[in-house]
Amino acid sequence: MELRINFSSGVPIYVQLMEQIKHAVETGAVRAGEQLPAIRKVAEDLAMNPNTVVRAYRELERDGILELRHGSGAYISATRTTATKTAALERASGILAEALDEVAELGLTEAETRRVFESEFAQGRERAKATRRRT
Amino acid sequence: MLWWKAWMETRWRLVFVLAGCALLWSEGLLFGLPLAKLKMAFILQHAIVWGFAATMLAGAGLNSQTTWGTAAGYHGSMLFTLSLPVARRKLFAVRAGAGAVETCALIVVTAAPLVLFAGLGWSAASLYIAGACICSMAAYAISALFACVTGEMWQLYGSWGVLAVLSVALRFPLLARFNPLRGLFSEAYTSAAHFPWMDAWIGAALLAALCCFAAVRILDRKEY
Amino acid sequence: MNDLVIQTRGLRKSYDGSPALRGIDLAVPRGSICGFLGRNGAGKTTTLKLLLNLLRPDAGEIFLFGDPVSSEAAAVAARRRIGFVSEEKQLYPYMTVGQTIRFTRPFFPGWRADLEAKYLEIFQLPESKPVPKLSKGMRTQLMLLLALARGAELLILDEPTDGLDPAVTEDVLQVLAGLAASGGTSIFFSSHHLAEIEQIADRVCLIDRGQIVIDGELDDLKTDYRRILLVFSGDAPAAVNALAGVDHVRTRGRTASLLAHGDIEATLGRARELQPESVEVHPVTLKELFLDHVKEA
Repeated sequence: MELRINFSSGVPIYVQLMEQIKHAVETGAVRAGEQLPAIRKVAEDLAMNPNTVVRAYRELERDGILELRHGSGAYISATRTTATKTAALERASGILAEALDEVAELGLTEAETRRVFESEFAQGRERAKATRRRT
Repeated sequence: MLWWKAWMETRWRLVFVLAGCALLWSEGLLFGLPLAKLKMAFILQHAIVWGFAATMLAGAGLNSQTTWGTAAGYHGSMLFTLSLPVARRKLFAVRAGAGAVETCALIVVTAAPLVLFAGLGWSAASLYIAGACICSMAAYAISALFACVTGEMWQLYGSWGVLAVLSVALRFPLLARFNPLRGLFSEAYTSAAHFPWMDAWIGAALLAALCCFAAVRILDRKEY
Repeated sequence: MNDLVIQTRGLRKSYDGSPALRGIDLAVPRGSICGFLGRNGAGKTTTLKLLLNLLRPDAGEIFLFGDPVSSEAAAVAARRRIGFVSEEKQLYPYMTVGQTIRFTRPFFPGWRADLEAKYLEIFQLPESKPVPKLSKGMRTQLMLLLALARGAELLILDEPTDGLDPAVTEDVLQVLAGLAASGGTSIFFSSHHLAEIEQIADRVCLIDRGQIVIDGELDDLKTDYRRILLVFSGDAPAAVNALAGVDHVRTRGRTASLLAHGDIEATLGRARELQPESVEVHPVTLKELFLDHVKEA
């Protein structure tokens, strides 16, 4: 499993780690039942904070992607969540492909498109946070 | 290990002073002066060397600034020393103790020729050596005190300055009585029956104690 | 029961009348890696020296491992559990690498000979080389070895990667990450290398002109701060400077760049009331946080 973290990105590192592990599961680089490297090893290899790795692993456990077995480590769980996630990802891929085609007709460059996307994405997160706060 | 460190810091100075003494001896031997004349001058010269040695061997490395700009800096390394789990007073005690032991050892060793050449009896000689040790401790303590507040250069200049003042004071009967330098230079050593230097010893001990006390108080509050 | 390895309350320090620290409240939890940032002269080294009792505070309290450090005896007890690397990385000029290690060892009953051997190997330090002949990078590595091999529970490091090449820097960061992962060693380090702090720290503390201006978990900071870029049809209105929820504003002609903090959605709402032509929201890097907080006049 190749993990590449952009430490200077605005995206929290534990989120990046989670995404990468999820991606590894989607692409089959890690399979259900396989053991993930120990927290300590990940921290050391990437020279990153172990608490961040812990947080990523814990969130992944909460999402049902992996199981933390006391004493032996983290294992990818074989649950239905994985299957539904793949489907959702495929669908999202389709939606975005269509949207990108439409945007391309507006004549924006890739960099411009990316900027708009990031901005909307960040705003979307804020709206979601605000909604959660209000409810 | 602190003793070993103190030794590493002072060993070359000790060698330097021993070399100075060796020069003195060779001067005496080379010029073959009659031993009677040699006696007092010899004693005096040794006393000066001992005073000098005392100032040199005292307290380098306790201060945070260096004025001699030693390349890799003794003094920045004070931060390392003080980050170790050692109390400042212990550091001072070991450093001061090591230098004091070296000074006294130097005196004992280099006094041997004096005994041989100057014709002092063993009791007078041992009294002289003891007195020289006690009185040079005053010079030592003065230098150690300077070492707590200033860099190596001013430590020496300052302590020599104080010693110079003390030696001038020797000429005034009022100031000469408890003057530690009297214990180093007095001719009265030549006759064991005569003990005028007890006052000088007391003066030396008091001055040394005072300087040490002041040095410790300064070190307690010092900022690095 | 507080599990703070470092805690200070109202720490103040002045040099010759000019204040260096104006009331510092630090709270570093055990087991965290906390990056201490600030411009030169902001008070970083002063703070670190105060923690080690190299300096005495004018006011305030310092607690290490939960115990107050008010006397030399308490400081000595604390130092038994602390490893320190100073800014100038100075050691004794009359010793070799090996002698320095042998000198330091007896002070720590918990000395780990295995770690000593391990770091000698990783850092490739030649035992018989005299310290003055070491480059600054190697002196740093030696100081790190001395700090790490003593089995310290807390490392206080002043610019530990200063002068190190990228490969050695990565070695050092890996060592620190490994330590934090296995032994739960707490690390409090100052650095100018923001990228490294982002890489390895879980907490960040920014000090500017003697005061703490940011103190929190790095992940939270990244979620709590956003940059809002506004473009107006005319010059940016003055009202943009008075928006609530904004830490810092920079206007240039028709554009305004806002550093927003906290309830971003509300701030966005207020910003939109000013009728900008375009609104963009971006995440904020540590570098931006740093510069925006310290460059205010």
